[in-house]
Amino acid sequence: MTDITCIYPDREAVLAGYLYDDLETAERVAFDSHVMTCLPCRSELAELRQVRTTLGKWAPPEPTRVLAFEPRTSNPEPRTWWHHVPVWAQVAAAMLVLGVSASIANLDIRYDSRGLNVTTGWSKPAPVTPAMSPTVAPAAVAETVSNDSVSREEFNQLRAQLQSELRARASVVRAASAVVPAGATMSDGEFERRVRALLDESEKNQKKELAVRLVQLQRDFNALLQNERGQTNQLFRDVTNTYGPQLQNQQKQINYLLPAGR
Amino acid sequence: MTWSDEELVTRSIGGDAESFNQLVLRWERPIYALAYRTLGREEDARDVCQETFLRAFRAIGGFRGQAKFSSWLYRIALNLCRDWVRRQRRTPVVQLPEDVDVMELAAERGPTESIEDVVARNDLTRVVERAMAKLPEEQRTAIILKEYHGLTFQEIADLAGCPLSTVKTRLYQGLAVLRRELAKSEK
Repeated sequence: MTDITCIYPDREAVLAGYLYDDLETAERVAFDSHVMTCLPCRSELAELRQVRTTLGKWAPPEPTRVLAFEPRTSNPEPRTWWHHVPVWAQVAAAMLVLGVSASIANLDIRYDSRGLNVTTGWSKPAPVTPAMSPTVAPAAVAETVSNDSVSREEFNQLRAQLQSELRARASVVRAASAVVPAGATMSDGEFERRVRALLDESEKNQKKELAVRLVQLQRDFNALLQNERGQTNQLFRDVTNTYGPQLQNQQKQINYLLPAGR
Repeated sequence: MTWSDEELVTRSIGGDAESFNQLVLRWERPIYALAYRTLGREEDARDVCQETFLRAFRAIGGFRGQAKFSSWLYRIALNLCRDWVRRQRRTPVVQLPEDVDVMELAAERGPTESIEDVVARNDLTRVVERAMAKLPEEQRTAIILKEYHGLTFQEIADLAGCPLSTVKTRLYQGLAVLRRELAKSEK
């Protein structure tokens, strides 16, 4: 190490400036002249330059992960509570709601050789009555019909109830009133036909809506599966990138050791 | 077309996020290097780097261009490093583990670098980091900004908020300590 005996004014600051070539011209020229004649300054400059050379070899490692910075131009939309529920739980909840809804609507969904068959409670076949034997007497038939059929009073009651429901649905009533002139009374047969038509229409709509929802559900589920698959592939790639070199090293070591062991 | 920092800053202030991303791409390496050399830990350096740009993004509307954008960034990063060191209450520069895995180092080496070169480079890194750990914070910062980031003494003085001559003296004294420490390690 150099013993400093030089008394150059403000020596430390000037030496630092000279070392980094960050001096005013006049200052640098003056110190140039001084260094030519001052051994301690010349020696120290050489040593400090050596320090700088060593420092120049100190490089920070490459960051193992890429710096991720995505500035947000606006506040993120508030996330609703179900965004915090795992995807699998959301799917399970959706299936549960669908199942409960189907139970309430008395739906019957079947998939068989005839394809997807959706039947609502409205279109469920009536309980099967025992097939009548052709040998049964007409009197017995009449009795059976008489027992199964509703009474006139019950029928009137049912009709009144349905009429009140129909009135509540303004659009339906308007449609009905467009066909039936005001003040005209509706026959029982006509009334029954209209009710059946309404029920058929309602059933068709329900079937259509359900089919649309089922298709949507299937699409969502497929999208989720695809997304999960993508994430899994990415994870696998990350793991491979991370541990690949280590595995290669281990392989090298094994290759190196194996011939020695043989 | 390549925009200058000042142009990108102006566009960022106008709400152009892409311009700010350009600034991030341009300055993330120097800021990361500054944080790494100050803190000595890769993960911490990365966190400080990210936090630097987040703070810059939040505050860029108030940037009036009195200083260079890079100086402004360096100031944010250095403040974060200082806070980090105080919060952690530990030595800022990492000590590498003694047992260095040569095979691991070999995997890191460049295509023309031999294993011996890699080992030597690693040894040198350890020596320099140990020596830098001996320096007071202001000397270390002055050396890092001058040696690795090429700031002028005046820029460092502005960042540190001290006179120009003080920066030069700090740098000289820091280099003198490093010279002594590096000489010890050679023995």
